[in-house]
Amino acid sequence: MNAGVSVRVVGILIAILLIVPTIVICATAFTSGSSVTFPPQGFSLRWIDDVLGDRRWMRAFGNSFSVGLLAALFAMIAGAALALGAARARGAVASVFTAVSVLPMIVPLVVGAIGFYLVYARLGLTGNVLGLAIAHGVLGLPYVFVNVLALLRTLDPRIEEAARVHGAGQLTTLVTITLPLLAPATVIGGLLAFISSWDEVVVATFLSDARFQTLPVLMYGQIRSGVEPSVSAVALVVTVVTFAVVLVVFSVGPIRARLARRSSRP
Amino acid sequence: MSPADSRAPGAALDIRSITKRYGDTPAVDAVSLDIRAGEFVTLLGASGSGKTTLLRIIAGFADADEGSLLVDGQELRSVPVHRRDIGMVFQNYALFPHLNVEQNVAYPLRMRGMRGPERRRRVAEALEAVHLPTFGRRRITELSGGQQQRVALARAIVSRPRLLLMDEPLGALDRNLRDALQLEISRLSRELGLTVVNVTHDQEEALTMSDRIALLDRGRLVQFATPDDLYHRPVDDTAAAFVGESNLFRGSVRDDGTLDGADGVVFSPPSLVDGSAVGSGRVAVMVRPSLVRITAVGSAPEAHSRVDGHVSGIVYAGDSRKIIVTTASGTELIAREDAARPLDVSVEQPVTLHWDARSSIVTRLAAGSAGATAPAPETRRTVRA
Amino acid sequence: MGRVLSIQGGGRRWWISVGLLGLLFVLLALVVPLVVVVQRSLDAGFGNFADALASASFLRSLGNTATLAVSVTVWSALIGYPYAYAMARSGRVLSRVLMTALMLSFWTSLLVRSYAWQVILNDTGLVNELLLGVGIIDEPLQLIRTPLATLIGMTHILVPFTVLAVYAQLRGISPDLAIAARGLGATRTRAFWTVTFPLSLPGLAAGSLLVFVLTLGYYVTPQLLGGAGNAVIGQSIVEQTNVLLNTGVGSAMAVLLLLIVVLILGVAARFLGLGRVLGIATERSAR
Repeated sequence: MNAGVSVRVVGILIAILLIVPTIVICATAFTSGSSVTFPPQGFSLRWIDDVLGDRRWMRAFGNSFSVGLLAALFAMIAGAALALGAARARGAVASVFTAVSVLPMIVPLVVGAIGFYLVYARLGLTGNVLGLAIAHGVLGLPYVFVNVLALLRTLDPRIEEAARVHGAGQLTTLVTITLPLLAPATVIGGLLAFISSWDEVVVATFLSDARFQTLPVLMYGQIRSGVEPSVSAVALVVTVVTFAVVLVVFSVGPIRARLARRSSRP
Repeated sequence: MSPADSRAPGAALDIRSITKRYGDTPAVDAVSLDIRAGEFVTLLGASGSGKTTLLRIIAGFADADEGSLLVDGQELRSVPVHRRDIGMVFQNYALFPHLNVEQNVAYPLRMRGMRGPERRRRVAEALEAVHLPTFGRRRITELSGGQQQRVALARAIVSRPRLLLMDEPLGALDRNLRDALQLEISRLSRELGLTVVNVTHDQEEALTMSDRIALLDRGRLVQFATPDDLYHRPVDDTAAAFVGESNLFRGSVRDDGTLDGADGVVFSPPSLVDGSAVGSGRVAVMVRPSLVRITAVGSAPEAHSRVDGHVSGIVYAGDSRKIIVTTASGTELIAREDAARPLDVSVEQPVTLHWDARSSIVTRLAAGSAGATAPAPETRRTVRA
Repeated sequence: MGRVLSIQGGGRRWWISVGLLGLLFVLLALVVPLVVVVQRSLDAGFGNFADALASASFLRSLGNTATLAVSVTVWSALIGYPYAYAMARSGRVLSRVLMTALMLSFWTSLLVRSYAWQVILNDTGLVNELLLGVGIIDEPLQLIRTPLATLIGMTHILVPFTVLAVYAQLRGISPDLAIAARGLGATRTRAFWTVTFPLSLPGLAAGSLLVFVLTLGYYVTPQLLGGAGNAVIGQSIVEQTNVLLNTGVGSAMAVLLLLIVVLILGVAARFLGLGRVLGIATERSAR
């Protein structure tokens, strides 16, 4: 039975409310004025030019991108490994693999951030790409785990048996058959892990220093010290990159439902 | 493959009292099979008979609890799956979906470290052998079910394995394709001299393709024999009931050799066997429906065994016609006759079923078979689990 | 057959060792840091916990967080339910439009969204300009740095979870059921309340629980939108560690937050199944 007219109208109104903030930010990035107002005064690309020409912003952009890629790589390796373990071990062992894989989803970021800081600082893993990538990698791992596990459930075990019986050892089977078959889910999980790293602020703040900052960290600092159109321009850049990755995810496969798996946290 | 290369024959496989238990129930119970080099053997049975488990033990996907597997006299159980030198065809093909046809077929050679022109030549030969010479660059998803199974077959034989295992290889295909592939697999395996262990629940497939059939029931080997022996000389009522259509009368043999509990059947001559031939007194008498004649009451030849009843159904099946006759005690028996013959009975008509004494086959009752506790005669239709 | 196809001993050991590789990563990267937090929280016995629980500002932040979590959950349900219903029970076009709007919002960085609400709600922002323009008010309302601003921002960020959970549940309920109820004489409203709504409750419960738990750990949005007097737990923790440089007490607070979250999820797992809440099918019927 279809929704009545009133429910549809309510739905459309809520939809507008949902996208207004995104639209406001994108619009204010194109203002020609020097303050953030909506509707914007005039149209210009000066703030976007400003940001793209600013070495500080660009360095942060590069940092965020490197951290995101490396974090996605860690998440893909560890997440796929855990999914294989969880799907193919039994009983308590399988439960441990599953529990460990969802743990990063459960831990509040503030709590994780303190832990990362306390440990990573001692190991020289603050203020650089590697440390933050490890932290973001473990936080993005559940996306890979969930996607790979779902694909594993539909995978015919006989395909791998066929490889084994025709002469492939376990490691060879894993490399030549299993991993290629799991690649679509692994990559989708990795892209989601990239995004979750790309716009993460709390952990990044704890693990950054004056010389090493990511885009969200720099942006967060700017917002707190005062709103200006260049922040909107950065927000636009962040959003465009995110949407581009999401579009790739959507087009990679009919795994749309998986997109709902994203958990967005502070 | 060129005939010159095809002389490498398969190995002999000696299966010695292999047992596999899941919990307390044995899935395979002390099964022994002595398979000769180059022989085509089918493991036949209903689901739960243990045939798939036994095949997986041979492949190495499962390990037996007891027994040994000797390939040309060499113990196989301690050899890991990938070193067993086996080719295998799976029911749902189990092709590698991310590789094309050529790469699928080349996989076993790649794993054996073969490369370059030699590998290309062998792959081409294998594809030639399954009549897909031009399909090398195709993606797996572009192939029909029959073509996929041919590719799977090419992959299984390309390395000239010592053993070719087939797990319900034709189960997913339709009738016509199945018939064509049956012949082709038989031809290929003979040409190449392969030792084949095939698993199926389809008795027709087993009878068509096999040199010998191992009939399994609830984990136990019922009979290991040629198709002809299995059909005409079943060792017990399980074999008789599973292979081909049969009318079965279960009862016990009296001292004079007559059957007690024969449910109104008049055997001629009355003495079936000397009891000692069967061992215990409990036997099953089997008559194939195609050997049963049907006639008006009282007009059966004196020399024939007979039973009275009334026609309860007439079913056409292709070239033949099945007439179901219910006896006074309610048992259904089957007579099968050529559909081209004019039909001279009608439903509800009282009739006599009769057959030549030589058509009665007396076998023992399998331990634990349904007939052993309830000696009522029984008819079973072709089993297609 | 399932039993026959299952992985045997040697194969299973191999997959366990593969899984251990991932396990090792999580242990080193996350579990060790968490253990260190617990260790640090206990470095003065239970003194840090005593200090934390004696701090008026921490206790106030606990109260603020609880209030915020309840409000965000309720508002998310009130807004998210009709939205999910419209999405699940309309024609293709509207359904697509609503899903696209939801995804556009969902995938916008939460930092960007918090910033957007700051722009919208400040004294010269969209809301105040509109209200001033229409003449409802004479001078700008104080919207930013209020609990209301935090509530709006947080609800906007978290409502997609409620929508998606309810939507998934509604999609599993055949519309024919409600049509059948109407065929038996129920009005549209009655058919909804007696058939569809009760069947959709598990989805609503799962979504709401997720929203509630996620709210407990938020830091950035309350920091950007809320006022000084209505800090939440996350802010208390960061203040202890970063401003007061008292990692012991900060860790104790973090441990308390973690315990609360784990406790709530543990109880929820009993009733709803953790898998449903976290969006993971943990039942393993396939094997």
